[in-house]
Amino acid sequence: MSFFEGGLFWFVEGVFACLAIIALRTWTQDKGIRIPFWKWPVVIAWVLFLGVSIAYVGTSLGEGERHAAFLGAVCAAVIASVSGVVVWRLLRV
Amino acid sequence: MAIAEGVTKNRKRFLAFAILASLLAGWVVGWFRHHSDIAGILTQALPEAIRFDSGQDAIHTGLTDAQSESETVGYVAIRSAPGYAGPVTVSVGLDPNGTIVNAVLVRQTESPAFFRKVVDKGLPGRFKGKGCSDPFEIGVDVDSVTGATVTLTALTEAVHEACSDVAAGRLGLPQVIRGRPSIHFGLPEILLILLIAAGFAAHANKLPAGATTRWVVLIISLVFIGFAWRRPVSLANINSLLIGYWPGWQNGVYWCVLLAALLAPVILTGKTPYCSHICPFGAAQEVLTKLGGSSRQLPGKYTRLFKILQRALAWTAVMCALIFRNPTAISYEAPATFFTFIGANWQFVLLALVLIASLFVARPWCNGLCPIRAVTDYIRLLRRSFTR
Repeated sequence: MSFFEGGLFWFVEGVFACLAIIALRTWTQDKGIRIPFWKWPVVIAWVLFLGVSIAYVGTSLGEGERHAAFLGAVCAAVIASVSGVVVWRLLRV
Repeated sequence: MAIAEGVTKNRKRFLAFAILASLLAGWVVGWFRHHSDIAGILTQALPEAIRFDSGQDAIHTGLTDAQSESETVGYVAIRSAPGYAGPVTVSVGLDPNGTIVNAVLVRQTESPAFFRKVVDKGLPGRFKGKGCSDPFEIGVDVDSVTGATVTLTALTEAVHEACSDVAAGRLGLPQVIRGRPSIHFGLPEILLILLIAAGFAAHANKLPAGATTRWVVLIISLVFIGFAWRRPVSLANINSLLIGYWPGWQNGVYWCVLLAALLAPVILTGKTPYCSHICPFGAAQEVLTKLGGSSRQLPGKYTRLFKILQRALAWTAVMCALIFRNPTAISYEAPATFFTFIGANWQFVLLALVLIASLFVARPWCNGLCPIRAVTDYIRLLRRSFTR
């Protein structure tokens, strides 16, 4: 079993996810940006989308589907950029 | 100061006429290239024939040897039908019983990605074995191709016409009477005319809520002209017009109206309400700019650079289209990729860059790369040169 198929990978993934959320909270507090409860799901959804996109590209490459990986990466980049800007503007409200 | 302005005007006028001359030269070169070679196509359509006897009705009789009293092995007819971006021409070989021996593509100018869909279905080779009396109906005895209906229809019509002409002219069979093409005037055409009317009225400030109307028109255009019908104006349409590939007006009402809406105002008044008030890709960029919360224009120091790039690319694309008589010889239009989701890898990358840039800069495609803008700018320049 490779590292990416084992439970350790998901444990490390979870640690990094927690660190990222704590880092985001600290950074927004430093910047004086208030994040009410309803903004958290939005941010988490965006981060999840980013993670799923990276997983999709990685999986497609692993399956030898280079064209699918490429198209997925391009589409995800556009969607992540547009939604990222929207989420960012939302956070600043 | 006045002398300097005069020199600039003269330089622009010279440039306008130099471009016009280059386009005319390209057109002439393309015309001669186009009319030079069809000989090898006959043998491909009827491989058994050693030589061909060409008749007045453009039907070539295939003979078995070089002697005049040789046996007839079949007939070849080369016929065309209007496709999406120009005529689709096929060479069809038939045996003396009226069965298709082979059908070979002679020339086509469709968008490569669309034509590939037809080729992937094994066409036009799959017409092999069909008889002159077959109906040639898409969905009945010819498999349909999703997303390339116009191209497939053109291909089928050209093969059918060739069979029909050989049947009547050489085999003594009754000619299939082809019905007159029906006029395509439905919801897309009606909505397009309404959008143009509303867009033009908003552009001319004839409406009380001009800005709101403009947004409504742009959004409807984005949804229908863009995503639903996927038929915005492209450089291929203008190239088709220049080359002389023009569908029958019955099939081309939509294109006639759309091109008239783009070109007539710029020729008559020097204005382009289509770009600012109707263009669906312009609408997509403006929506993204709104989402990004920016109202910035392309930075001034890059504007001139992008203008030169925009015009050079457009000129190259038009010249190649004229010389190769192929409206899509060079296609780099992001709107087509955006609405059809068909294109080469680099076209997807270009589209992604344009869409992301739209979040921060107003209409980066229109101001930096759009070939339609370059064409309308050139028409404006010519107009000024002629009406000094």
